[in-house]
Amino acid sequence: MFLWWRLLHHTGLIPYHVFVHTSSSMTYAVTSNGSLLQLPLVSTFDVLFARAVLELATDLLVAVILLAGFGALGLGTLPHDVAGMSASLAAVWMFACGCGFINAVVTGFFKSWDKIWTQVTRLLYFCSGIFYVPGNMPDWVRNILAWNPVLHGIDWLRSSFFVDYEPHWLDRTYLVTAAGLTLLVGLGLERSLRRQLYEPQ
Amino acid sequence: MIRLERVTKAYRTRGGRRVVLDNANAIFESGHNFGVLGVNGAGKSTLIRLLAGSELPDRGIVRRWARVSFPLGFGSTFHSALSGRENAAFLARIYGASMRPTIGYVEEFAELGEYFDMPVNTYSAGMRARLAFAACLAIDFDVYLIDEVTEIGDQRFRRKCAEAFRARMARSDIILVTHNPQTIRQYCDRGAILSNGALSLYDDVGAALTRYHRMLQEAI
Repeated sequence: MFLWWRLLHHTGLIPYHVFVHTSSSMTYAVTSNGSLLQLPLVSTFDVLFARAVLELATDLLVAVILLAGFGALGLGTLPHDVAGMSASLAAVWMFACGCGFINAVVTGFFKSWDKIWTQVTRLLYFCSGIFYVPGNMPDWVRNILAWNPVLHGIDWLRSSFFVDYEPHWLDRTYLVTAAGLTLLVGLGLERSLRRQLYEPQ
Repeated sequence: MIRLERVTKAYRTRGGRRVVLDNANAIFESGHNFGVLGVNGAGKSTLIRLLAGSELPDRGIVRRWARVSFPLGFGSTFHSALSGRENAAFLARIYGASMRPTIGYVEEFAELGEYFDMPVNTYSAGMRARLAFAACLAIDFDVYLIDEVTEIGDQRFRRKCAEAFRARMARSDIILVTHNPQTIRQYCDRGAILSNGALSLYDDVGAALTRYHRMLQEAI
């Protein structure tokens, strides 16, 4: 039970939340900051990036408070590799930022996109190995799940949390590549469609 | 000086494309105050936002050789969850003005009392306008862009605004949109007429007003 909880919360939900909160709330960042965007010095990139930083900071703070709380109850464990844990969270966050920029642009042209994105994140909840280890899955299932970059983020974090966890399917390069590509596409879309993204009434 | 170079701006609406500026060239020279005239829906507010840089043109360039204010209009430039004080601090920070004097000036000028520390979304329209005026005046701009908000607050506050702007006009210029010919004559020495995607500038504000009235009559 204790191990399962550590698995679920410490190593599963924290990166998942960083991904979902960042990518989802960037979807609304432009529309909800309409009045600030009236200031010529504030660009759509600014409000999107600020939102992404805010979500990361909030999630990290919540994680630290909860981990400290579990520690106080005697349920805590410290990660054996803090640097690796930070790197995995950074990679997940960058992937989330890339998705967030894309979301923000798509929402500008297709208003209902946020509903669809919510469904995508719900699906990811079951496909990211949050409350199970992908190793428990049959090979053919895991081969499909391994296309999900968030799963690699979660397993990357686990590998730095638990000393003896180093799954053979974990591909850190895949997550970093996915993050780089989505960031490239997202920032490119934001830059080229900035004019249409925000139209004051 | 603000220069529009081959600027085109249009909106997609239900009825099709609505052109505000069609390949427009214009120079708003420094040392002059411009009154912008145009019928409702001609795009005067859009022009102000283009001059400010709040909005980008579809094509062409807007060049500025001056520190241009944010558009001072009914559309709020404030974050509604933050208080007046926090918004003033934010503005001071992004425009590189010193915090304490700026906030002090805004607090004193806007006369919001205890509302200065309440979120902006609790403000009435008049209070918002007062905060916007104060914040705009608190920062030293070379050009102030004002969009139809000269008639705010009570008589006394209006007079105070007029006095503050008159004092500021010694070193700054204003570009003003209003339907009130009297206000235009009071502040501006030059005029601009925006109609059907064309922007024409007049060296004499009287000539611009005469031309505008003739245009309105022809339309009837």
